[in-house]
Amino acid sequence: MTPMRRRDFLASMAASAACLCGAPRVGLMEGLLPTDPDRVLVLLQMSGGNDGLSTVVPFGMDTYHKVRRASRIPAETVLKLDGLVGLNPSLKALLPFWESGQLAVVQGAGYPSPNRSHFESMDIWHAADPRGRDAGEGWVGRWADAIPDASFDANTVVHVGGDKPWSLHARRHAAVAFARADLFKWHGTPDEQAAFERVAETAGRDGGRDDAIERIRRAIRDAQTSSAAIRTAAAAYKPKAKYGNSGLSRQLATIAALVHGGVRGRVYSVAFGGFDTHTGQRARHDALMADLGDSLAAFLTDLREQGHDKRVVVMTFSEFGRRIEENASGGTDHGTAGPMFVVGAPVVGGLYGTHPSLDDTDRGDLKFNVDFRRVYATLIDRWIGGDARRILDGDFTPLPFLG
Amino acid sequence: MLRLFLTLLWLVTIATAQGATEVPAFDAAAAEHLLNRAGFGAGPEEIAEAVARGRAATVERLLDVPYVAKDAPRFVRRPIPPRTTRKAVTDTRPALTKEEADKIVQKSNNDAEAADLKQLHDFRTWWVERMIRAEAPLREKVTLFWAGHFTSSQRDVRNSLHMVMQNEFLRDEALGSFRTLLHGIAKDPAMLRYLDNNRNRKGKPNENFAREVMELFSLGEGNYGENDVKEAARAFTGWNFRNDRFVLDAANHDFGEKTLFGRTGRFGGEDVIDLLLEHPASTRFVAGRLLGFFVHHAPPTVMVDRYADLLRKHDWNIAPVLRTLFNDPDFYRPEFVGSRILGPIEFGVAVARRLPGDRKAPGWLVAFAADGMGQSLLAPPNVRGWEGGDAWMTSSSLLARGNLALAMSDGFDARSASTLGLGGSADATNRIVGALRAGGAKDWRPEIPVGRWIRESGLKDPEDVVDALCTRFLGVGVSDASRDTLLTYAFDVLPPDWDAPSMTKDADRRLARLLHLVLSLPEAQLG
Repeated sequence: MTPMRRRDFLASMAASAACLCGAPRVGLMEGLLPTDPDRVLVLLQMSGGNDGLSTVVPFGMDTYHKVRRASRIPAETVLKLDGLVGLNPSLKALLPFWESGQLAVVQGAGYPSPNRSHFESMDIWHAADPRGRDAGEGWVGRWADAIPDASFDANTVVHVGGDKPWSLHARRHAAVAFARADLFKWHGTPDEQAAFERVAETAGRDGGRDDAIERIRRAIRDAQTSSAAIRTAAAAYKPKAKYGNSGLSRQLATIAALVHGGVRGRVYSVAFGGFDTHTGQRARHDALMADLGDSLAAFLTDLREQGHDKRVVVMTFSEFGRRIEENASGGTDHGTAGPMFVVGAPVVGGLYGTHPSLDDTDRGDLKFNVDFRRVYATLIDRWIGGDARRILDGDFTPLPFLG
Repeated sequence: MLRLFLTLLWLVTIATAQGATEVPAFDAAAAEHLLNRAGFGAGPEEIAEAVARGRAATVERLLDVPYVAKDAPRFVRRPIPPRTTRKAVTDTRPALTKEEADKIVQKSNNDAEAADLKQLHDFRTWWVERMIRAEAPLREKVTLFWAGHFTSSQRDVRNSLHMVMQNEFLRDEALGSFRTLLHGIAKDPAMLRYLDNNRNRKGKPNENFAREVMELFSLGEGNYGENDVKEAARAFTGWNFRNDRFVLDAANHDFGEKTLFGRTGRFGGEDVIDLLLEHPASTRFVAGRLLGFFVHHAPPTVMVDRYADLLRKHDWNIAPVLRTLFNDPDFYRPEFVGSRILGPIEFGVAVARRLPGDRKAPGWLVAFAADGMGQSLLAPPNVRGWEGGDAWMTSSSLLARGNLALAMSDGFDARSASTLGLGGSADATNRIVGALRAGGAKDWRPEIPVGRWIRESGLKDPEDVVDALCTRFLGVGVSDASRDTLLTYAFDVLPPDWDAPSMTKDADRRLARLLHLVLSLPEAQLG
């Protein structure tokens, strides 16, 4: 069964959003963090500029078939979401989640005055600010910094593999980052480990002789706790779904292990690349879509089998979409807006926003119609808690993909 | 001769001037504090020398070191070809098809990218090794300070030669005049690109440089208005670079009248910089930054005011201001000594400098590890530079510091650099290690293993061994709690006959581990 078309209800839903706040968000009302320590957000970054038109395919638009000669996905193979758009067939593993109403597709997400540099545009998405890095911290970093020190756990924000994204950059409450859980440790023999633990345990015994030493002791203790919790959870984990061998699959499996294993992470981040498809796009992009769909499906299935599916929401994003018209090399160049997925058992599935027109364009590029910060605002307001207006430095109306 | 006379005269003046204040003794702790702050820490030999020489003479020695300007080797000064576009290719070779042109573009840009990355890493290595090996490292320390103050990043500049040139400029002028620094940085190609002044044109001003030169380089927030930024941006229009040099592009320069800070005139960029240097807030701002780095992260206001006056009095010359600072009893106040949290580069360089032997520890390892801990040389996180202080003490980076210390105490294989646990990501690790190996990064073992050093010092009692390691490798005194922990471990792992010849190999490994533990203490993160 296809979920109800959502776009028509967008305005009215947004208007009534305030009264959708139910009992679980009492803390939110008081502006407190965290609202529910079990709620987890997973950010999945697609680096290089994902071609939105090959992800959520506007098969119902004539122009699509004219401008995409080499990378075109025939209408008959598209996994139709409505009469106009459908998923890339390589995303077939996600179809069951669409059908059970757990997949929200936000169409045409972007921001004003789009930047076509990978770095600069990614910085804008990470900072949730047109100034990029010069705005200060990343948006997740600002969220983490707002948590009172006393209730901040060292593993609140965790990045697994790949370069740690700027979104996690914080002033006070740094994210943990590692490529491999088993290497996220202080390398010492068991004897040394015991001694290193004593270094942190002695905290306080000097009676404040040196303030700096005390502060570092506490930081070392946090580091040890953080490392032990992550390694223990990862080592003990037995997945209940079959993950593939891709880097993304392994990283998501690690996150499932941490979610299951009692690590107190609230925001997890992964990134996978290869989306800068200037040449020979079709085959390369299909493979990326298959990796994305299969890895995500395994992750969501695993969470469900472990009984954690109601705790986790995944959001995908990329720094920009690609130009509408193909280039001469069967690829596409840097463009503007693109789709985002928000998926998980708590999500109200459906299409959000309208697909940007392929004819009414901004000099050959898609016009965005949902500011991506509205998606962030929704996730803050209705999922991980926090003061979205302060974190995003502005009012961004939430979308109703979370009730 | 004259110089000697002047120095003596100056010493007498200092002694008289400080007669009223209590001058703390220049003992080993004071000497260590000076060498921590004016350099990257020192071993006991250097500290003993400094104590014997006395404070004033030690400070003179730090300041007065022969220096050869722009001495980076040629292999890190290669021009980087600009990235190209399809249009640029087809403009010169119109016969090409689009596909052929795209191929050429891709190949050319990939090659440029690879050359750029390699030169960047080679230069980082060169710079860190300079810090490790410098006889009087004050100039390197001040260069690192300026690199955090006048930020630019390869990430945006995408021309490692320009980054190298900027770094050389900062080093040449490190102890010179802030006036020269501010004027020079405004015309520096990397800076012109980093803060978008190369896109600042008459009629379409780009205010990025004009704003940051006030906010971050000279005045600080709250000491200028939006109109000052707008008018300054006009004065910098047409400031650009060509062929790696500054040019004034007159066609894009606004020669009109500007009004800022209450003054009106046909100001050019140089005039604006002079106005900033005359601005009363500028000396306080720069003094605050200097003291924040060299004294304490929150320097007392009275001290900042005093050094602001000194900067003015010395017409922005840095060396005489630092001379006063390093001789100032306030510099040696107990609450400042040992209070500075070392950045990853300072930490790695300090370890390397204290290892027994010839300071041959590989710069690339330190630069690479620091990158994983958030201090990428020539690529600070944003225009504000490295935040420093407690921000360095993250879980990931504290674990990585211990692992770097292990690699440096015990040696490591370059091949397994990605499993050393130095922080950073797998992608970055593979990329960087690949570039470094191509540049000749090799396996490394300490020249004199710490075990051999201990044995040759004739130390036997574990307590003496622990004290020797702490004295040599920590920049601040060890706390009782930490020392207890080390002693417990040392007595556990060093049996009574540990120094018997048959035990050598085993003992060396255990002593390297003991050093690893020393370098993982909170005390090892301070200076």
